[in-house]
Amino acid sequence: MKIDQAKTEFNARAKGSMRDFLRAKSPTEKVESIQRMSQASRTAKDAMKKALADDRDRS
Amino acid sequence: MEEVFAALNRLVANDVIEQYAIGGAMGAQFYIEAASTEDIDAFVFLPTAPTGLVDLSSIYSALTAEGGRVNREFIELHGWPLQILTDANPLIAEAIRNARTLDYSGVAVRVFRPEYLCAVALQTGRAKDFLRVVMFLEQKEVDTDTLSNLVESFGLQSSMSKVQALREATNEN
Repeated sequence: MKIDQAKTEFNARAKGSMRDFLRAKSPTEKVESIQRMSQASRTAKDAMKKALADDRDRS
Repeated sequence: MEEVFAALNRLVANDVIEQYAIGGAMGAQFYIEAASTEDIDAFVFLPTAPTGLVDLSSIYSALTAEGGRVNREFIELHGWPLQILTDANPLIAEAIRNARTLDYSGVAVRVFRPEYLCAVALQTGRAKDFLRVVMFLEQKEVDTDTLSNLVESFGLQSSMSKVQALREATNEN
């Protein structure tokens, strides 16, 4: 098997594992997960805003 | 999540991997407003094993030493499910190389640029991936010329046509 094909198949298995894991969460866990992700998303956007502001300052 | 990014940075510093970048839904969170599950997709340049097989054992060992727990083909690390995905094709490799470094709560993290997030989503080709590309286009968080070049270079025209149709249908409703 070519290495790229093996890597592609690995990636597909990994995505399948994650999908099963996320689907198996209880409703309570899913709500907690959404809340954690919302916080992470806000932090991610703050990081991007800061990077764009730094870009503007440099130019 | 910054603990996860710090652990990925240590994998690079310790030569376990050459480089990584965050893609997928978490990568998109840096640019667009979109609902997402809490998994983190870290795409890595994977060293080729002498056998030619995909071998992530050195990565898993290093992340286990960081407190991670391997669960089938992903790792739970600091409470976050982390997928280590490989540089399975030239588009992903280019996306990792061209990733942008950001400061996430004091920790450096490499993130796919928006055009590459879209191109990889087009290549993956699930409905939710196409929807993510629509959101990038609608929220004007992507350079359309750069994305068009990637679509051309990597033969993603068919997927892009589906996204355009989906976008038109969304705007009609």
